[in-house]
Amino acid sequence: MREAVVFKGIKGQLQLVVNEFAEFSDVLMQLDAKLASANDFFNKHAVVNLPPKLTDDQRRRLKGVLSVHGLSAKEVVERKGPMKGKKSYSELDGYETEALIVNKTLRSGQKVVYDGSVVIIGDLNPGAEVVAGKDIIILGACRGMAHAGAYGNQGATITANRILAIQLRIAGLIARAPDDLDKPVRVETARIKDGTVVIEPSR
Amino acid sequence: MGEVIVITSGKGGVGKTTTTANLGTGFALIGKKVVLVDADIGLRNLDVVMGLENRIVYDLVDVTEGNCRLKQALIRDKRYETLYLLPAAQTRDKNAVNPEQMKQLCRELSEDFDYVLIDCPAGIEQGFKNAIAGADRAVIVTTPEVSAVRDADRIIGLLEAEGKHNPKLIVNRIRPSMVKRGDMMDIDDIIDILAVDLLGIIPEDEYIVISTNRGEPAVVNPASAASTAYKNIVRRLNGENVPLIKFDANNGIVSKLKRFFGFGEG
Repeated sequence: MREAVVFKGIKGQLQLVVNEFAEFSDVLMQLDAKLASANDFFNKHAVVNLPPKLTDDQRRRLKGVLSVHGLSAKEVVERKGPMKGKKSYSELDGYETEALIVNKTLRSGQKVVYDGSVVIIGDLNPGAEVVAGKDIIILGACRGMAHAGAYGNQGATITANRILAIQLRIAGLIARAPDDLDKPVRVETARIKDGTVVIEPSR
Repeated sequence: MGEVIVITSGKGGVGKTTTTANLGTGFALIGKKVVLVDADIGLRNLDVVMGLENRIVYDLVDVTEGNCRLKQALIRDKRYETLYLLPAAQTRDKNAVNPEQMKQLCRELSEDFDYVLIDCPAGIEQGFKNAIAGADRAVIVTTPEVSAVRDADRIIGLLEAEGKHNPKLIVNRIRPSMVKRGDMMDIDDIIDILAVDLLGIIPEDEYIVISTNRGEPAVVNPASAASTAYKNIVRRLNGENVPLIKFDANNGIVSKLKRFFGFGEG
């Protein structure tokens, strides 16, 4: 079953995406559970964009769940019709991505779970966890636990400036670092090759 | 309005209480009016380290429960007129106060004092939440051990979640000779993981044990190696620009440390 509610990072903002076919009570329950397991990952007072096409009552109840976890909601006005004219460079800066962008270092005890790809602009420290449905890209050091392709995607990869993790997981495979791990000097990618997790310099 | 600084670490035994006592005494030495708050309810130590145990009449919980006025619970230090202590209750536990009460307490204290230093208990539970509630800034104490650094990292994350950003780091109990041999984590390794500003480095010093048992903070003894380090940290917290480490391309961390501690070639 598809998840009833997911967070997406779009244009540097958090967008709440609600599955239109899900029961609204399931949406509320899943949202509550997700925020509870996020373990203070979202900054207090972070602003979340609410999905369009909600009834007033649904909007009020979503805001209620968000505020319990210290987040506030912002309503997005739907843009009507295609944009006209050529895009300038400044518009391209805020390009859309399906990936979740985490714009900080994840520290011990912090956990991010996302069904798409996750990009961390910062380090993944020991004791922190990232679980992604697709790829994980870390613009920093990977010292914590990264699990790419967590829902079975064998083609998922983990890329980091420095892979120093003691354990990496891709799909159902768990790889433990050798005890005499060399210090990496360049960007590396971990992927599944011939049934095992290998780490090699990124192309 | 004074500034409220919480001294915290996550892990126990890394030197929060010793640091609080020495920084507080250091502030008094430069003439600042300072109060030390022991937030470790049920396991109070700060009064012992300060040598003020026999003067306790009222404590922090008495204040929050309204059994006495705040001024009645404050103990003036026996050596320095501008140094005060608000002791923790020993017969209660962490749940005897809540973050809201601590915020109120810190607000009141910061009206009368230049600096309010809060000695945070170990752990991340109620006691930690109480201790950081009213703080404007946080100082993290760690030792050059993997476990202490890991806990410091967790604490930094929790502080961020509470909206307290840019904590400063004190690395305690560094042994330059061990770092030189490669047997101890060096400062660069620690900063690489924690990615926060370094406030100071305290060398391992036997005199700390003596001073703790005597109830007389080491910072007042110029012969103590840790004393200079504490004094420099006090000046940095007070807004002075005291150079931390001089970087030389061909010199390693040991020479940097030597210069910093003032026992190097000059």
